[in-house]
Amino acid sequence: MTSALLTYDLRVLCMEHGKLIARALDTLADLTHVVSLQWYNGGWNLVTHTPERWWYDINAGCFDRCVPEARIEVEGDLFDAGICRLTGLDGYFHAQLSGAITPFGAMAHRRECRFRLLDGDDVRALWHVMKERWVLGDHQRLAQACSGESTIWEIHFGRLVVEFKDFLIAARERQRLSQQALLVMAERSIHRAVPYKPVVFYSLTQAEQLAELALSLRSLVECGRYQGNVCIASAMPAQRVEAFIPAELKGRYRLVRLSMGGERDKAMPLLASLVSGMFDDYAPVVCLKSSVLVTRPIDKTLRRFAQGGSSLGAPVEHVFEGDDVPQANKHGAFLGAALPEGHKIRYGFTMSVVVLPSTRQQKIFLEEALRSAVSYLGKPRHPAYAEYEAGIFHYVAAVLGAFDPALLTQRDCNLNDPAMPGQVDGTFLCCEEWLDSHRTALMRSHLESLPRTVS
Amino acid sequence: MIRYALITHDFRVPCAAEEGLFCGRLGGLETLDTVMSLGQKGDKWSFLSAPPYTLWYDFLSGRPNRAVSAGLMTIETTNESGLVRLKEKGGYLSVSAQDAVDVVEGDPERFGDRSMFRLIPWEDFTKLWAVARQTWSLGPDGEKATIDEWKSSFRSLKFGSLWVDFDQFCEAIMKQPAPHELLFMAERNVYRAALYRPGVLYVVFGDKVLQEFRTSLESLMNPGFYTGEILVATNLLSEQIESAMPPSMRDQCRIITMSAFDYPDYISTRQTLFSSGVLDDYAPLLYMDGDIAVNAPIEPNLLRGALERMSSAQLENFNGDFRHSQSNGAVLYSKDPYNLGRTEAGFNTGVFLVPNVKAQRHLLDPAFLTNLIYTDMHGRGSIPFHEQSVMNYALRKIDAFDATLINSVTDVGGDPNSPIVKEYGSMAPERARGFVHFWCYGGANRSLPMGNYTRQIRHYRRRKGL
Repeated sequence: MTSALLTYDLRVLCMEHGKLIARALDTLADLTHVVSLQWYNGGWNLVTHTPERWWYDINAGCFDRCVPEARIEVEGDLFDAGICRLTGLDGYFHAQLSGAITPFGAMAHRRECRFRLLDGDDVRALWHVMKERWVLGDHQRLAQACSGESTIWEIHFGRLVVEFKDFLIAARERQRLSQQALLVMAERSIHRAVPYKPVVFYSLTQAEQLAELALSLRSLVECGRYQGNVCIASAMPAQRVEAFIPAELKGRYRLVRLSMGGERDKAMPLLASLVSGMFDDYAPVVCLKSSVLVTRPIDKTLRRFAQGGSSLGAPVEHVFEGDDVPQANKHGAFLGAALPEGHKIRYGFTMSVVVLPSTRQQKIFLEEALRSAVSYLGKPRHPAYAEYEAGIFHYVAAVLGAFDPALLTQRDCNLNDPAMPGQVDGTFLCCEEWLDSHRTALMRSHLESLPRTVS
Repeated sequence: MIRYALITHDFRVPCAAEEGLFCGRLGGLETLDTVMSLGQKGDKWSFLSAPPYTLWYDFLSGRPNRAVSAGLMTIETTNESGLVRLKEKGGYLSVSAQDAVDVVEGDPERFGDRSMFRLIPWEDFTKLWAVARQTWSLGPDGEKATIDEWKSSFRSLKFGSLWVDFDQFCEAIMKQPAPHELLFMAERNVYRAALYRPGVLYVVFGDKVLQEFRTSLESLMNPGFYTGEILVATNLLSEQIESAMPPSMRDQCRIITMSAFDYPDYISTRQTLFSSGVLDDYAPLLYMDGDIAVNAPIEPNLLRGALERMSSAQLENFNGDFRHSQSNGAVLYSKDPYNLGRTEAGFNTGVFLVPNVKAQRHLLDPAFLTNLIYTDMHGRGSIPFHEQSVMNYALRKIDAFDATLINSVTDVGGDPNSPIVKEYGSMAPERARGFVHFWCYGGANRSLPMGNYTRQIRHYRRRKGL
């Protein structure tokens, strides 16, 4: 694509069924049907790059004519302001609400006749930004570039009104630097936005967890009012797992078959999936154990997680100050001696809830964890199967300084809380330490007592 | 991460399946999703899934999706360059008689070639895969060639009738001058091969030409024996086109709907199609008018066509130099005269061969743009024999035309007493080499002489046992 045209209301000119039509950028699944304005010695015309190349015929208004008649006049300073008007045989092209683009009459003064010419890479950058939802600023407000209100002069991005050129620069820079965050100038200050497409990930190691999973998912939907995607990895057949998934999650869950043939696999339920790249399009990724209940609307908490940068979050159980070192294998005790000099495990956390703001940004952490895990498993004896993954996470987080205790605070989690049903105050209620025989029943009674918010 | 692909002794690739590792045929793989590559895991090696995902293969469960995969290997070189053995904890990897990849204990020498593999970088492998999936025309005679995976091994490849050293073939693939062309050494000689994925294009506008189109298709079926794709650009309904096709050819047909409103549209759609990219997959692409009868098996001509470097068509010697012929571009030439340094007859685009549309597009685009600009400036009826004139003018000027192939296999048909038909041999069956263009016929319906001629050719071929 060389250069595309945006209508006054930020729709892009496309070819659809051989006709020229304007479509909102954020509704396009891809950019293959976007047409571009091309100079061909005799004049300007519109041409597709689908990747097939079809020229627009201004007489018939179609792209499939054998010998297209092609001469469009362009008025305006294309290479500076970028705003132009197009004229054909019958007057100025204007964009109708229906999406039709017709050359008709003398309507040059109307904004419907204004188009913005954009470089192909800029359109791609803008399209990526407009398709995504964002978490904006300190108040974690959800923002999306609103195609209904935005124009080619200003973009409505959440509560911000951003000049088009500033927004384009932000989108372009994000694309160029392959970074997650969008840094946008508006109202004389700079604003940081991060993409928001949450996923909640469960990894089941045994069939007994299915009953807990059903309760956890119910709490996620009913109390958490969760609207994002869910991914469940297990070695069980899909049909068996599906029976425990609430109907509300239909179309929003994905099942991954993960072979868990031995004790080693069960000791590392998360890492293989997180490092595989299958969550790279999500932010944040929240790994929950099936024994975790969600007690209140979760959306705002997830937005805060998305802003977590390149750190890992989990509920802190113990802070090791001074010469205090971990004693429990689940806090990495079995690896403590292997830590490089100058590094120390400062926080002992639980793996019941693990938050990764973005697996793409945590690539180094995850790959280092996998490398360490494989290297350590290669040794003949490994003393702590049951806490293996937790230990590795502690070890690598300590080496890379990748753990942020503020990401998941005590306010977010009730850890093994003795609280009676109805007296829970954290967003996540971790029930892992409860007696196996009573856990499901207690989780159920807690779930029944939790307040449901009317959606 | 550096990744390698493995080739087994019998030219197969290890793939992961429910039952474990098995060896798959390279050309039979639709995607590379199941192919196992070799990647570095810590200080050792292991199998992992094809990019972009990073899923390590587990030797215990035989799957690439285990939470903690087991199985680290070391690479051991052998006496032969490029061939290695893979040592796992329990022994060496070896291909079983059932095409499974197992770990076998003991001295690997006793398994011979089965325990050896060729390592090639993943990028080279993807190119080799692309070559193995395609059919090629092998020069200079246009032999139809593919990699024979049943006879090839990790030492040498059987490509058409040639044996090629594996390393040399891989090197040729990496140095491909273009994706559609291979230059390689085999048996101490140099060879050139070109991609062969033929298509035959008809343009059918208006229902008056349907009968001719049907007769031409019947000749393409027999004696043309064409089994490849047929493309029909038309403004008619697909039902009308299908009803005109012999039933056995309907599956070969792909219809491209175009809009046509006036005479230039009716006779000038080829350039638009060439330039659009919709025909990019074909090599060669043969355009035929509806009044062309095929009089010999078409595949040898198409195979030779794939090896051509420029577009080809039949010369109209009887019209003299193209610069003075109204039907061959005189109007355009008069506006923009250029010195060619020789006399050249104009060509007739009734049979027009493009060796590889994608590779030739940069040469065909100027012709299309010339048409667009000239029509825009001078009006839609300003060029006589619209497309043919533009092709003659533009392709000659940029030196992108070579008549040799199509001129040597095309005759003119029609009234047998016409001097031009006589000049081309009066449609004698014994000189049938490719095509007869029935433009030299005075009657309204050319399908009648075309049909009679085709039956005559079939009878002749039967009598001669051809």
